[in-house]
Amino acid sequence: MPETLTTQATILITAASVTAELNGVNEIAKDMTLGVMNAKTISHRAGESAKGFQPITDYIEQVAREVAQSVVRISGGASVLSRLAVSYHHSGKLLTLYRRVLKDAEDATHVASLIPVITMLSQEAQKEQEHFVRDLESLVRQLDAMKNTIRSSKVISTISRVEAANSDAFRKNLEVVADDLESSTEKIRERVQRCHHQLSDVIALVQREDVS
Amino acid sequence: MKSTSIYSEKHQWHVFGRDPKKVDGIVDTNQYMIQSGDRTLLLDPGGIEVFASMLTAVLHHVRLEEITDLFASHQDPDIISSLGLWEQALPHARLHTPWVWEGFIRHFGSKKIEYVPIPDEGEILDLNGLKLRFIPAHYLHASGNFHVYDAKAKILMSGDVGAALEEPGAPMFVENFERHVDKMKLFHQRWMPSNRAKQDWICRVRELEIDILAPQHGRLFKGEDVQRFLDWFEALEVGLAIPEPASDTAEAELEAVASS
Repeated sequence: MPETLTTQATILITAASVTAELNGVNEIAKDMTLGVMNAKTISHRAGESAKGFQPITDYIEQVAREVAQSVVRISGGASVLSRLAVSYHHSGKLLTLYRRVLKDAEDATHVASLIPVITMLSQEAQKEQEHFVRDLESLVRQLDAMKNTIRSSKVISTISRVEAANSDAFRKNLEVVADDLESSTEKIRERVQRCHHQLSDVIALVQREDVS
Repeated sequence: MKSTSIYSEKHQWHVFGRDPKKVDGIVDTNQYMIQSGDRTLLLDPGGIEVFASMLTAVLHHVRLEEITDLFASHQDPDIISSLGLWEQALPHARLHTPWVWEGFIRHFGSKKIEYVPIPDEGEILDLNGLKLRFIPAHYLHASGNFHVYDAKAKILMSGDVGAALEEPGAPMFVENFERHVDKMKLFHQRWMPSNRAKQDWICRVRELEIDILAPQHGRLFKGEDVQRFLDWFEALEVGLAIPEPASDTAEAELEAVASS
């Protein structure tokens, strides 16, 4: 990200970007659900020759549902990120402002009365930073859980390709289902990976900031 | 920020303003402070942009814990948008403000401070034995608006009444009333919306003994200039500083509509 962006701007952009990526993931999950309905119809028509394919469709359906649920949870967290970014920025800015007054007022008779205020603001800013990092790390953990779901989906797409090969009459149709699953899985994986990187970058950025 | 003592006996009045560090493009403001024993009241403490300078100036006179009360004559940002910053340092202070504005002023980032709503008829604040009167000045210019009168010091802090928009570094007091009129005429015609409210205020204020009339912008009036100002303001038609309607064009348009 460009060096000229403030931490707050970077966080707000990240929150918007993560939300957009997750919306994309949600769309893919919806497509997966539609694909499963199609796959179920095909395997039903194929009958005995696609017997091994039928439990796979149930699993794909489950994956799509889990992905959609994760997206809802993580999107909620990402939208809170914007609010936290403003609050985090505000506490840091207050501290900077009061420190400026401390410097400007160094010859003022009663400047010492500022010190307890600055100590309190510094403690609050540190708490705000810790809270913020905790929330970011929680989002990253949720993304990790989603990555695990996606990883097992990739295995299923490989199995479904094998099962498709066993179904002579419907082989081509089931291969298309397997291709779609593989492609959707890959797209979701890429998007989740990008979210993961962006949030990890923000954590590093916030942790680098000295608010003490 | 320049700090000037305008009364110093058992209690003290200070005015802060003419800030050389003020950001260009924002209107200059006068902030006031009354110290009475171990209690201090800040009157119209100003906007976010002047907060740092104002706090720096105040620390030359009082400890933060001695600032027990804030007063906001009305809800404008140049009056009180610094509230969210002040309350970090003054968590135990109370804000006296017209009751109509409380919910609006809270938009200035205020979470902790105690609000003391001033009823429409005004009231008295006892600042360590010093009786300060909140004088109604509604519609001058805000619909809920108060001035502060100190009968002991004979000072009326008059908010936007008496205000003038001047060049940076203008003197603190009016030196030539006639020449000063030009600097405040348009401001009063435009910002003061009601002749009736103005007249009501004039009647109320003429009953007070005033040595210094202290507005929130521009120069302060003292001595005979106070009465000169009241006479001038009484005679001034306000609420009219808007462009005249282009009557010829309007009539032509009306005729066109009527004949169509």
